[in-house]
This record gives sequence, structure tokens and C-alpha cells, in this order.
Amino acid sequence: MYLTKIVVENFQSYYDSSSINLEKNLNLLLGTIGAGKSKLFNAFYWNFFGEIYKTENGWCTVGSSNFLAVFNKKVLKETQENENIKVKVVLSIKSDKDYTVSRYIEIKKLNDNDFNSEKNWKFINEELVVSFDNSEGNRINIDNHYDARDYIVKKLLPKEISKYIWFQGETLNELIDIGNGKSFKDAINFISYIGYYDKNIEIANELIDKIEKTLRKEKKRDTTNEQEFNKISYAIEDLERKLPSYQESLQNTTIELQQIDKVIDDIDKRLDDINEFIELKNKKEKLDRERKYILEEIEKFDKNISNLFSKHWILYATEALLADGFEKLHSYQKWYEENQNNNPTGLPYNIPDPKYLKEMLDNLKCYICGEKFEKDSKAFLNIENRYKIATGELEEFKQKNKEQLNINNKVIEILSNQSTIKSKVNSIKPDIKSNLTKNAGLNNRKSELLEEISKINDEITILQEKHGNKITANFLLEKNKYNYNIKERDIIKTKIKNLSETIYRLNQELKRKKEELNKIPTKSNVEYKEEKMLTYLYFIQNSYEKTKESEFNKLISKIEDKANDILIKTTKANKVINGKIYIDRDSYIIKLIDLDNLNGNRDINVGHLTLMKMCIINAIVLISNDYKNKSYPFISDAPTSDLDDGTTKLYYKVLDEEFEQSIIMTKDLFTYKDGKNVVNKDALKDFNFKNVYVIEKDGASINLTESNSFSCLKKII
Amino acid sequence: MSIINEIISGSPKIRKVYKEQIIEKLSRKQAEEGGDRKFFNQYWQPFAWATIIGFLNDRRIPITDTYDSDVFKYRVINNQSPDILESLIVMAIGKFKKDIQDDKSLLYDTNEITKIIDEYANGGFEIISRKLAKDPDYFYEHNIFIEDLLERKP
Repeated sequence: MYLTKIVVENFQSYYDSSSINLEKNLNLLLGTIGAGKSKLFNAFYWNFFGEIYKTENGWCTVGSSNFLAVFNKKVLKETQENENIKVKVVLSIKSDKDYTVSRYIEIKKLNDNDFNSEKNWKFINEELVVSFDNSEGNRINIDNHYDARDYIVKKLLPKEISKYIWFQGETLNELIDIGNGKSFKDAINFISYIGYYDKNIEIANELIDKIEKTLRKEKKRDTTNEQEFNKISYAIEDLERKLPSYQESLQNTTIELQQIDKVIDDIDKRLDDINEFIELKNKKEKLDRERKYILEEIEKFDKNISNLFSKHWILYATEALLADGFEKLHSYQKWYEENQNNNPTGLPYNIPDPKYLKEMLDNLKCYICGEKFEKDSKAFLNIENRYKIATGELEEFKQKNKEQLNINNKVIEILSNQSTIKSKVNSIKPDIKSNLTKNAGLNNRKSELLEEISKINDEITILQEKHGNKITANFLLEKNKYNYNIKERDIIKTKIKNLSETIYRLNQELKRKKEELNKIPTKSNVEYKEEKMLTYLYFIQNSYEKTKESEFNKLISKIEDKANDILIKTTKANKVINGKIYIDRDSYIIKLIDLDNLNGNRDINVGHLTLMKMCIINAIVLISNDYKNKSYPFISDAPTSDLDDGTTKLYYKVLDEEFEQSIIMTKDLFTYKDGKNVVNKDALKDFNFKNVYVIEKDGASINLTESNSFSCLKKII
Repeated sequence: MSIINEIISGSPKIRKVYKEQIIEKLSRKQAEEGGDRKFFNQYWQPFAWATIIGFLNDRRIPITDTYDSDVFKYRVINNQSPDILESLIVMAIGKFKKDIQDDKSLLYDTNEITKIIDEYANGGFEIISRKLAKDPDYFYEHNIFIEDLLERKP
């Protein structure tokens, strides 16, 4: 059996009419907190069973009262006075036939006062119709509400297992209510013949009781010691009278224990939630501090980058330009060094002194070599030239040389820094690389922190939605309640122990008395037919008890095996759980034991326990499918909120493979990007998930409220 | 007098249009409100950046229209980062059309050097303004400055 379509009309967060087609295998309905996942889950559940789940109240019946709980607030607000509106959910189902289950409620607005108050509305009608084609091809409509309801729980979805098939994540503890789980027992009876054995044992006991009484009457007439017979008979009757009241008392006290266990479990869960809330708050504060630090570092880094860029990095790739400049400067410097002392004579301009040159010209004699020369001769002109340079032109030469020196000084000034500039340019690339790496590290951490904070905020919101904003205010009160109930439970347990001992003692006494009675000889000394019948009945009773025990053990082993199979598949992503699930046969307590040590009982955290319980739920549904040779779709809201990412995805993979159809509403598979939650499409691709829908809130652009917004369904894969 | 000392007493000539459209757009004044998105801290920084872009792209454009010669003094560059000022000078010398020994007037004073720097800055500003004309937010993300830088071919 699998669902092919759901149509929701004005149901809770769904305004007007929305529908999605459902496929075989895994259907993922993704939505962030408040998008409308649980509302859609409610639509499925309400259609079949007329109930919805509310975090604060648990399961609630919706009908002629409490009807506003299923209506969309926007449509309630918009409806005019005296106008009728309907909320409707239609499910199409493919099984041995094509079924349609349609449920609606119609109401009328009486006045324009507060639309959230039921007194301002009139309940008109609720209708539940199951339709299908019969073997002749005629459409059959079961439109009597009670007949349709019976048809659903008897033919479509058996009541005993429905809570496992339609599984609200928040009710996990209730479903696998280890220690007292009536629902667990119901499910076990449904998927096996254990219930029949119980009934047969009950019948055998009744027969034994009646036949024993008849036999006593017969033997009383035939006894050889009437006084002793009567005395023992009275004692037996007295014991038989007393025993039921003790048994009833034990039964009541056991129920009391179950109730107090549930109260303790509830308080324990609330205390766990409070502790978790405090831990989350502390973790969030720590992450906020780190985020602030990272943002400051990023800001500092940005400012620093601007300076590094302007004072250093802008020179990136300027080697050639700088080389051109330096080459021109070096070229000048070389030229200057080669030409700095050159003068027209080729000799130092101040040797000899100009006064000696004048004397040489006047005396026509060279003072250096001692030779005489003629006026206007080559030697004369040479000395005359030297004299002119040494006097007038020398000044001009000096001036020219000074300018070249000045330029050279400028050239030296610039060149003195050449190696510094060169090494600075060379260091740009590694400097940019190391800074960009640091920047990427800071920004990655920033994104990680934003994602972590967003997840923690989601978890905090869930806890606040569950317990209110003043979640920690009742901590001491809850703690005192917890301690009080623990003491009460100890008292009840002692009472049960005493009652059990008394019942055991009385039963032993009864057995002894019956034996004593049988030992008194009869006058006729014949074997009564009742005695023969009792022999058979004792055998039957004993056989049923043994068979029941064996069947029960086999079934629990089968559930364990299937659950462990799922556990192995879902924990491939990490190697933390290296144990296996074990269900205690007496207490139904789930343990995680070492693979090689049956006596082990390892410590498990909430994540482990959740996963183990889910594995058992899935095992129950799958084994039920096998036993009944039918398949039921597995529909669950938020089954994986306590699990890590990898385990969650592997769990979905198992659902996809094991069930003919599974429909999961989840806030997993989102990732935080650019300030908002978006679907992690890479994860969907990695696991090849098909049939994926997104549930989103639409409506007013700002300040979304229940009465101006609505949920939308979109198929994305 | 040294080249640096001569240059730092002067100021670059910057076309008014670029001062308004680029320098003021990309750099914050001191204590400017809401200037956090601006990449540069001081006016000289986009000028030096534009000059180098001009040099690298060999884009020299004489300044013919109205300019502002009072945006900042070269002294500010020298105070903040003397190596950048020296590098600009060396790059300008590299652009001399003649060798210094053949035309010593090139280094008699610093007029030629500052003229070259101003004109290549003008060329760089033109390249930047073209990018901004296509997309006014081109330089909004600061990464783009680094990305553009790394696209340069050494």
C-alpha cells in the first residue's frame, strides 16, 4: 500500500488548496522551523484518524469541538460574517484497490469578533468518506462517519500499528515506552500470534478453575474423611477468594508504577531539555564571543589589507618598469664616472698653476721640460690654451662638471634604495598569498560559526516552543518533583514486591492444599472424568505458555536482528556505535551491548538512544509487513532531530531501500548560506535522493503572522 | 637639492572629474561616517594605484582640462610610504625618451618626473573610470582590488 497524492485545503498553515503527488520509495518534505512540516504531518494523520499532534498538548481529537485547531488562520480572518468555510484533506491510496479518503469540517462565521474563538463560529458538519471501485467497477462510497472510521482502522491501517507507521518524532519516547510500553505490547501482539496464546491460556485457566470446582464437589460426596476434606476445601476457597483481590491490587499497583514511571520520564525529559537549553545557551554565548572576535579580526584585517595594498602590493608586477628606470640611472652613473675628469687638454686643469703658465708665455720657455719655443709655435699655443682654460674657460668647465656631479648625486640618491625596492617587490607574491590564506581562514570560521549559531538557535527555538520562553524558571520545582516521584516509585516498587511475594506464597499454599485434598482417599476409589480432563488441560496450559514464551523470544530476536541490521547501515558514517541493540525480555529495556559481550550495558547518549529506538520502530513496521504480507507507508515528522548529518542521511537511505514508501518531513538537509537557510542540493545529489519537496512560508513580505502567511509546497527533485 | 626633497614640496595634478568619481568614491576621509565600505584610507593611495595602472598599461594622457593641484602633497606619500614614492620616480625615469647623459635637463629639476607621473596617473584613472562606467559597484567588494592586482602580467 502506498499513498499517491495528498490535497490540503485551508488546513492549519496551508491556505486555499495545495497538493503534492507522492511516489514509491522515499519522499522527502524539507522545511525549516515553522515552514509547515508538522502541519502537513497533521494533515495526513487527521485525514485518517481525526487527530492532530500539538507539541504542548500531545495528540488531540478534532471534531465538533476544538475544530479551529485545524483551520487556517488567514482563511478564518478573511471569512465574512454568515459565510461558511471548509477545511479538507484528501488522500489517494494505491493498495489492492485505488482508495480515496476524504475528511472535511464545515463551519460558519457568526460574527466579526475574535476569529480565534470557537464561540464566534458554528460547527456545521464533519464528513469522512472512504471511496473505492468494487470488483464490478462501480464506485463505492462509505460515507457513514463511523463505518468509514472502522473501515480505515480495520482494512486500511490497523490501529495496533498505526502509531508506528505514522510516527511523530516528538512521541518517540511514548512509542518505545520501555518498561511499560502498552503500545509496544499491542504492536507485538499484532505482528505475531502471542495475543492468541494469551487468550488460549486464559480460556484454559477458566476451564481448569471450573473443572476443579466440579471435581471438588464430586469428591466431597465420595470422601473418606469429610471433616478434613471440608477443612481443606474451605482453605482452598478462602485462598481462591483472596488471590484475585491481591492480583487486582498487584495489577493496579503495576499500573500506578507505569504511571509514575511516565511522570518521572516526562520530568526527566523536561530536566534534560532544561539542561540541554542551558548547555545550548552557554555554547551559543561562547560561539557569539568567538564570532565577535573573528569579526573584529576580519575588520582589522580589512584595514590592514588596505594599507598593505597601498604601501606594498600595488608594486606587484612592476619589475620591468622599475628595471627601465634603474637602467637609465645606472647608464648615467657609468657615463659620469667615465667622463667626470675629462677636460679639453687631457691633463689636470690646475697643473701647473696659471701664474707659471703666464711666466712661460712671457719668457717663451717651458718650465717643465726646460725647452725654449717660438711665439705662436705649437708649444706656445698649447701653453696659451692651458692658460686660458686655467683662467676663464676653466670656470665654465668647472661649472659644467658641477652640474653633472649634481645630477649624479641625484642618481646615487635614487639608486641607494634599489635593493630595498627590489626585495620589496619580490616579497609581494608570498605576502599576498599568506594574507589571503589567513583571510580565507577567518571567513571560513565566520561561516562555520554562523551555521553553528543558526543550528543552536533552531534548537533553542524548538525547546522554547515546547516549554515556553521561561524554560529555566521551573528547574528547581521540576527537580523537587523528580525527587518526590522517585521516592514514591520506590514505595510502589516495594509494594509490588510484597504483593508478588504474597501472591506467590498464596499460590504455593493453594497448590499444597489442592495436593493435600487429592491425597484424601475416596470411598469409591474410582478415577473421575474431571481428573482426566484436568490432566489434559494442565498440559494444554503448559504448552501454550511454553510456546508463547518461545514465540515471544523468537519475535524479540527477530526485531533485534532487523533493528541491528538498520543500525549497522545507518552508523556507517561514523564508527562510534560498535555494539548491538538488545531488548530485555522482562523489562523491555533497550540496551546497547558489546558485540562480543552479552552482559555489557554500555552508556548511551540521547542520539544513540533515539537512533536505537527508531531502528526498533522501523524493525516492527518491516516485520509487520512480512507477517501480514502487506506493506504500509512509513510517515514521520522530524524523526532525526537528535542525529548527526551523516547518520541522518544514511537513515534516509535505509528508509528508501527498506520501505515500499516512506514520507519524511524534516528540517535536515538545509545549509546556512548568505544569511539564510537553503536546501543543501549537494547532499541530495550525494545520496541520490529522489522525490524531494520544499515547504516554504509565503505571504506578507514583512512581519509574518499566522493570519497573513501560509505554507507552500514545491517539488524540487 | 635631492630629487625626493624637490618632489615632496609639490602636489600632483589630478583631473577634477577623477578626484570626484574615483578618489573620493574609493577612499574615506578621516572619521567619515559610513565610509567603512571604502577600500582606501587616504587620497594618495588611489592616486598611486592609478599611476601604476597607467604605467603598466603604458597609458599616458596629458591633462588638458581642469585639474586640481591641491588634493594632497607628494610629501604625504613620502611620509606614509617612501618606497612607493621612489618607485613612482624610478618608473617615471624609465619612461624618459632620452638617456639622462644625453639630456641632462631631464634631471636638472623634477618637473619632467612629476609631469610623467601626473600623465600616467591620468591614464590609469581613465582605465579605472571605464570599469566604473560599466559597473558602478565594480570595486564594491574589496577582493576585486586584489583580484585585479593578481591579473597583472609580470
